[in-house]
Amino acid sequence: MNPALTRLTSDLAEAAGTRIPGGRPALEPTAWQAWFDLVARNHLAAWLVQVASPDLRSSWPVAVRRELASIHYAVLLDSMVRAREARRILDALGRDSVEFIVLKGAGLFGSLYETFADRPMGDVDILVRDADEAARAARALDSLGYLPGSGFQGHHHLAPLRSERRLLAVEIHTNLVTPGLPAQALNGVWDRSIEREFPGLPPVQVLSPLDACLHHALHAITNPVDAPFLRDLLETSRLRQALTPEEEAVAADRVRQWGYEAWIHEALRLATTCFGTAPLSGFRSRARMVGFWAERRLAWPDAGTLGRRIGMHLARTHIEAMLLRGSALNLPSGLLPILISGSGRALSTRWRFRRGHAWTAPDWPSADVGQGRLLYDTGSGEVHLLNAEARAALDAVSRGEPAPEPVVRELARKGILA
Amino acid sequence: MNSGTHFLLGPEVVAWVPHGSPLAGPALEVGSGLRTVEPNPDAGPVVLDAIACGDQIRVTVDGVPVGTPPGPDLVPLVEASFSHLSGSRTRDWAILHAAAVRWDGQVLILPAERRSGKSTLSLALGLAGAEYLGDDLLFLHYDEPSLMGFPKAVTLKEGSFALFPDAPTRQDPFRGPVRYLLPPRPLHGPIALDPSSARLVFPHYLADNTPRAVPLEPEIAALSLLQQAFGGVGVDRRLLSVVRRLTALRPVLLSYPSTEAALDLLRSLEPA
Repeated sequence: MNPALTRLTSDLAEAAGTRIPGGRPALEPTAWQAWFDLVARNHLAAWLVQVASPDLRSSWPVAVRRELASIHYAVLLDSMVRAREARRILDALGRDSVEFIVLKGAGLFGSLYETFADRPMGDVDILVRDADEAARAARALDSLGYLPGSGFQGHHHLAPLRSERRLLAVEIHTNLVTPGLPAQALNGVWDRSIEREFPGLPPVQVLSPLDACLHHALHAITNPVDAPFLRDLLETSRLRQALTPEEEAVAADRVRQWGYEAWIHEALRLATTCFGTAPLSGFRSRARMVGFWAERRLAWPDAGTLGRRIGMHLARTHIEAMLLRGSALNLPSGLLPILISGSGRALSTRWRFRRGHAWTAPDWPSADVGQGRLLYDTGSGEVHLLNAEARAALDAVSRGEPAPEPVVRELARKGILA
Repeated sequence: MNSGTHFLLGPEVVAWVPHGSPLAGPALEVGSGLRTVEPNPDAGPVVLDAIACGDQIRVTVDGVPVGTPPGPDLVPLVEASFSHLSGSRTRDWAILHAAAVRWDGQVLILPAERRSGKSTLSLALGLAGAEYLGDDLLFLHYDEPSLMGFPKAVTLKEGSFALFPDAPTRQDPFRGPVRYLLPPRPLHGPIALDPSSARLVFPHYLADNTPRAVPLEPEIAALSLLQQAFGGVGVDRRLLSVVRRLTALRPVLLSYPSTEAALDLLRSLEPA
């Protein structure tokens, strides 16, 4: 581990009460930026500010403390809106008698996290029994303005539902992972689920402590690469720490029943390495590709060298392929088609700049201001400001009339003309 | 839910702060200019409160613990909470980071820019007799030429304290010392945004500025407005219509070295 990561995992372990013996690793003044980047990327600032002891906080440079406090404040304000929305979502589901289990962030509220600002949330994840119940859940959320997206066929959750205001997304899962847990294992998850108080609402169902720990381990290791991996591992570690001896005794069997021994093992091993949590007994240890990539992922915000960046992109491809196709692709067989497809797309874009191409103007929302025009790219979300010349060229193309070639080329280069 | 105050935070959001809550006093200090209303029974108010937790307090929203404030002074926290919650459920209104007043029958919209001094200017205008629509947020209807104010108390930073009457100094954890002063004539709206009686003014304060008001190209004004619109076009594409409507108000760049100079320049502005 690099020095910033070593120091941060030590600080997180101390804040979580699982301090690794040996004291706080020293960090060069120039490395604190990397430390801070890791905290920000993993959405850990608010939690650290809330739970770190005064002694631990005072060991951070003043500038770092100020930045953390600033993030904490922003998260606090944001959480006011999101907490209210999460409550509305759970209330709507409950009122329509949808049978669901709250997963991940919202499912940890009241156990690992005491307040919403401790853990910034972008979505609410729920598990339902089957596709029919998922459809019922979607209908219940329709009254709040949540509309389903598209895609995600064959995945363990539907495309996220989003509202007009985009306060939160809702992911409706029909399984905990892709490929899904066997039916018998999933039934066990439902049978063991427990009630958790949620302020102002009837109790909601959440995963049992062991299932929550294993699910977080699995989620951490299979989550897309831009996800807060270190936070996921920390949550896995904290959930593992809270297990009773009885739960620990059945953990290995449970994992084998789920069929994800390799993945869960690697997440727990990394949690132990990072935060000093006691390993779970009964797991066989052997080198695996997923563990190799997972270790690389930890240090990615510090990927300053070409080698590390290449590693990052290769691992990104590997993990995304694993997610999208629902199987563990090992390099290089899984990588080659993706590289070929990506290169082909890049080359075809160049070739399209040729004379005689019949350009098409986009059907994007626009507004004329002064002599120019604002154009909203519905794909990228960018707003283009066209000057009078570009505006006239775009109008000409729309009418099928000729337009000055340099302007057309520029519009095409910007992706405005296709 | 009778023992408390309802604050209209925007066109579609009402906050309720219970009497006796640690936030009740701060809410009145910040929000006494906001219209107090009965909540919409369909939507229900946002219940903003705080509970003791050891030697700290925790802010709650609808009873859900949200977090611990970063400092002991709750007035800046309530101000930020009101602003943040105000835009949480607006469907038909764009939210612009701007101050606004109605002065001598003319609506002046002052978008936020670096070194704009919009809060100081809006308080000076308010004390000079202008109706005060707000110093921070402005709601603009997507489909109709209509705007609505957010007339919370003006937030003054330390550099402007000497210009205005005394008021309690509050400690904002990030902006430092601040004071809250409410101009005498708060205006909520909605009011019509009529191009014949409204101007878009981009203020820019520098102590050594030469006082002048120069026309601003609509395209430049449009870009600035997009930057100051919360959520951008991604939230609602109709924001483009709002921007087009605003840029028709003959945008002007107002460079000023003092509030007196700014007021003189604004008096001389003709309607769009």
